[in-house]
Amino acid sequence: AQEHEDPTPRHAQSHAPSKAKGKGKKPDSSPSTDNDLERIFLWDLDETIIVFHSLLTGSFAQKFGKDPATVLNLGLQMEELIFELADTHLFFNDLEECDQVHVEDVASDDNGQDLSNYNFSSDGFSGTGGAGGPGSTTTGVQGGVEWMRKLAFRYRRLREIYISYKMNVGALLSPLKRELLIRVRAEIEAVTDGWLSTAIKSLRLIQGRCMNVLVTTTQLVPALAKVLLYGLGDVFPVDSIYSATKIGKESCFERIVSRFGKKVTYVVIGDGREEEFAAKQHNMPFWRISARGDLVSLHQALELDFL
Amino acid sequence: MSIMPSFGFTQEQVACVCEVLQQGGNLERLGRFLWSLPACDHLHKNESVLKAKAVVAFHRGNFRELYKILESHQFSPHNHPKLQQLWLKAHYIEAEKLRGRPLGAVGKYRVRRKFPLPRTIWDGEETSYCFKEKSRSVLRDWYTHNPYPSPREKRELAEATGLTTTQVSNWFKNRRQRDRAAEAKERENGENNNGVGNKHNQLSPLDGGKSLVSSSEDEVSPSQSPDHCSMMLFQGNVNLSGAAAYPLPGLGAQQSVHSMQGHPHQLQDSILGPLTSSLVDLGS
Repeated sequence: AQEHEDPTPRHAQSHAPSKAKGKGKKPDSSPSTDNDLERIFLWDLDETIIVFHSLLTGSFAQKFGKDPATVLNLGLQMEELIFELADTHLFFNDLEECDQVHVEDVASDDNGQDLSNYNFSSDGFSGTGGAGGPGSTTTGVQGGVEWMRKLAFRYRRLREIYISYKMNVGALLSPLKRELLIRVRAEIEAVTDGWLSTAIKSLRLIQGRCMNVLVTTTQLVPALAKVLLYGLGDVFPVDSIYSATKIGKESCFERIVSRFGKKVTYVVIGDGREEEFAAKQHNMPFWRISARGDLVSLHQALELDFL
Repeated sequence: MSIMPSFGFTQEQVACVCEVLQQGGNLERLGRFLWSLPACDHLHKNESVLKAKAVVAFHRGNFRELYKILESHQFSPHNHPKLQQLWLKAHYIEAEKLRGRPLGAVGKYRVRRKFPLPRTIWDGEETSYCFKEKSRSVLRDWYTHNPYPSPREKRELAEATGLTTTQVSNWFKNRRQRDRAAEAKERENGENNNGVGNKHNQLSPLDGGKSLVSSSEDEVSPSQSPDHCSMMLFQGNVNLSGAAAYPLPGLGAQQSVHSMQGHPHQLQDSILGPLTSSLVDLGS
């Protein structure tokens, strides 16, 4: 598996669309990987790789004939874990209102200073005015240079945390929560007949020869939490994760094409709706996931070298 | 969407594979994939599959097969460009083989004439170098009222004609330029003719045109109100002055007709001069 990230400061690099929204910016990606890159698979998250949202809405239980109450309970437990992780370790409280598409998006406002002893809880980012809102005097003007710098620090720290714990998210949780996570995940796997494990087979196969990119409609911070908690941290490097909440999938795809170029063949994998339309707009082939069997077929197609 | 028991892929998935391998240029793999497909009619009539077969046939130089595929199935418009390219390239290659040397533009033209695109991959639209007549008449009409549409008016025109605002802007710009050039040329002719004293020169090649306006000649006099002038000027749906920013053509005509001095004959000729040259121009 190719490592696409390194923890040393990369804030000088191209993904700084706070100035120029990625469109005109020439992407820089390590040349060694890109020369051989033939395919990039653009994955949707919910109901494609992981089963989460449909646990809560009841649609999974209904579609696959599972006990609604059990399923809902699993969903709720997972949801609690996700948001607790997001709030406690991933600055979700601070960042919820100033969501980004990609973790590098505010890097250009960073000054690269050492953050090892930096105190995020008392730097005045989120004062009484609330994330530097209009009425706040303690935090300064939202969008002001100092505030943007503090924002950039958070995303940098976010990135570092992701990289450090992507193989071991349990270390971020209390022992009790760790146990809970293991149990809930096992139960979800059971009730979904191994959905996630099936998806991971394809993800790993792809990782070995080309590249996986995640494009989700979840906000970036909770998306990172989901990825970590569902054990997908080593399949998706943090720089391969995009949140389409603000700009939509079609624009996200456009950004990704700008980044990796048109010589690559893109394949979109999702459960329909937005990603299917976005794929069509970009003339990208679309692989639909409606049931676990579609993930099995996908894996087969990959193994047989059809994709 | 049929699922073959032994063959694990749905039609949609098969189509997806075809697209991926085509886009990736992996035609060998695509060929192998197609060969492995079960002999299910449904599958083999799928457009993505047919397109893939066509591409593979071309790649292998199997042109008979290619033509057969292209001719025997109706393809949707968005695939037409690619398939037309295949058809043409294959025919060019075959012609070149016969000829023994590469084809030039004329050679290719002859090939296209000899092997016209089948309607399965072509909607019959000839390559047109002009805007549709309907659009052109809308623009022309507008031009006579105002040769300088505002940005908003351009947008409205674009909508009305089915063109882009850029195309509309360019049309007006070119039209004004050509009118200015035509008018300058007329001025030149007018001056030359006046100098010689022969006022009929410019009318003689245009007898038809002359008779068209001759009936109203009597009405043309300096004492005439501008309205009559404008009526006469508009008979042939002709407009005079590219330089005029004023909607009233009567005034405009007077502007462009610089030699007018109130003398009836002069007025006649001056007005008729540009008019007749514009009459010739009616095809614009």
